[in-house]
Amino acid sequence: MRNGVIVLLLGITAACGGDGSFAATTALEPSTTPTSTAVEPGTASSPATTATSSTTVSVTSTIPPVVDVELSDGEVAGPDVFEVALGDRVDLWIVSDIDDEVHVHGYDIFVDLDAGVPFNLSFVADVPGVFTVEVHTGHTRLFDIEVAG
Amino acid sequence: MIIAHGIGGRADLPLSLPVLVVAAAAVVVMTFVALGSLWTSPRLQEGPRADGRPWPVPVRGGLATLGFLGLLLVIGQVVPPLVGSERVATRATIAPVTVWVMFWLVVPFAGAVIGNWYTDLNPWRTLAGAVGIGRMERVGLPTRVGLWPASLLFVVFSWFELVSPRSGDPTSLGLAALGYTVLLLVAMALVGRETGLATFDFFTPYNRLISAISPFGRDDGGRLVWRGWLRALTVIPERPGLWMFAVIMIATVSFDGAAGADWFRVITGSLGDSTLGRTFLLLAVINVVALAYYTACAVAASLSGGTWSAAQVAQRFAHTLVPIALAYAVSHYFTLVIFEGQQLFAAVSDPFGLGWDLFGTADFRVRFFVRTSTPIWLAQVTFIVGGHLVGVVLAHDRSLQDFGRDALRSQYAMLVLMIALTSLGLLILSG
Repeated sequence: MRNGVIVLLLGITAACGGDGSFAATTALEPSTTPTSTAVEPGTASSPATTATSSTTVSVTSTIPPVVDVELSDGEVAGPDVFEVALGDRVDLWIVSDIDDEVHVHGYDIFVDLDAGVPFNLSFVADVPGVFTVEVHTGHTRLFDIEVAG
Repeated sequence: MIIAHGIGGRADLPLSLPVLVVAAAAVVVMTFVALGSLWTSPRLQEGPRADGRPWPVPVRGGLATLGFLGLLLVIGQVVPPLVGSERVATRATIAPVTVWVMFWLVVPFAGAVIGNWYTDLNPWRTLAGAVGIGRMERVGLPTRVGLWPASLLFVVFSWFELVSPRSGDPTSLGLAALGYTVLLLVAMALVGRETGLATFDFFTPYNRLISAISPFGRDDGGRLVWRGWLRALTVIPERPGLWMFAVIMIATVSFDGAAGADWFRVITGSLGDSTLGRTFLLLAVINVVALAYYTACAVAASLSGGTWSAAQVAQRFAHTLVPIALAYAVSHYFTLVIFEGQQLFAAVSDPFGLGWDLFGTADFRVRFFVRTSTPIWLAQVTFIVGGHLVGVVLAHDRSLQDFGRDALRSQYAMLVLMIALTSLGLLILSG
């Protein structure tokens, strides 16, 4: 039931053929160090697709985003709890079948999700506790982030 | 899946194993020390000692205004949707923090120390006084009704907070507060103001029970008095249903805590996934705690040699559950109070979540000023173990009063119950 968070070390990549889904890169940090640049995942043809699509051929060092949590038809597929040590970086890929807004409670991070575009939720977990992450539509709970410390 | 209560979304980390083991050991040692060395004649049973000064009138008026303003702001949440105003998604309204943190937690927690200030804060008493409702009793309420209506409403309220998916929704909160207000006004108009509040407004008995721990009270003339810790608790009127009310106090917090614990999710499986399933679980937890308490009372009754019935013992010892219920609530919710309670600073600037900034504080963010778990764990364990100790002391004193010579023997059942409840509390905290 529980999964450790895999902290992906993503190299900063060259600018990609954009479709405007750069929402991940800014305004994620409540109080401390700025986040690293999130990697443009490319325009996936379906929410579950993890392969790099043809529009991102210019990217050479991209690790294909493995979607951690998928939301479709209001149903959540993915682990129930992600564990991370205090001070470590949470680095998760989320995809939804509709436009939505993700809210990380406690850290009070609000970010927009575009339908079908994998999104990188990335921030430094500097407050201990168990924090619920939900989407705005129907207040659906996606998962908890357990920050141990 | 479970989103616990209508506010927040942050929960405490489970207790670490060493903290848990030390706490459990402390409970056992304290219990046996208490058994062997506590007093041999009752000391807390004669009730409050009264001698004091009157409450200042401006304080009472201020509290009444504050309480009434709170109610208006919550009910007022039904207005924006009516006039078509859009709420800003990133702004919380003032309703959840007012209801679930201030009204439900801060008021009774503070009352346990400073005395029953809810009497003055109670917005429904203020409202009834202002519009002249409930000056006389039109319908006589049978005595046996007691606290049962309050118990039922208490369960409904807990369901709304802990089970309903709409507990954080300001409009739903506004509608619920409006419905509750109408219900109480009708009740007060029929059975009289004080009887109506004591019977139907479950916040009234809830605050009365918890603030009976406080050393501050009032005499018959309404004057503030120093009465000594716990002394009002031993003379709480044993209205029918008192024991069930105390059981619900413990069970609702237990349910909320357990819902976040891994072992509970494993036991209950998919039941936790649906509103119906969680409704069932809430009722099941209440019934399990009630059964455990009543069984202990039945055993104590039989050990007493038949002078008391199980039902009588259940009523006589109900007050000993109150410190345990308070300990559960404080240990489970104090981080919610000190962290999510800060939302009030932002919410007063934008009470309806419409993007206002009345006092320039609308963008205030919660400050997590406790940055490690150890102090939180220690506080939680101290509350639980302290509540256990006070419960044991109260049960011991009541046993001496009621069972005299047989006190030690008949106390065994209560001790087993209290160790079980404290273990449950620790188990919940350990996730």
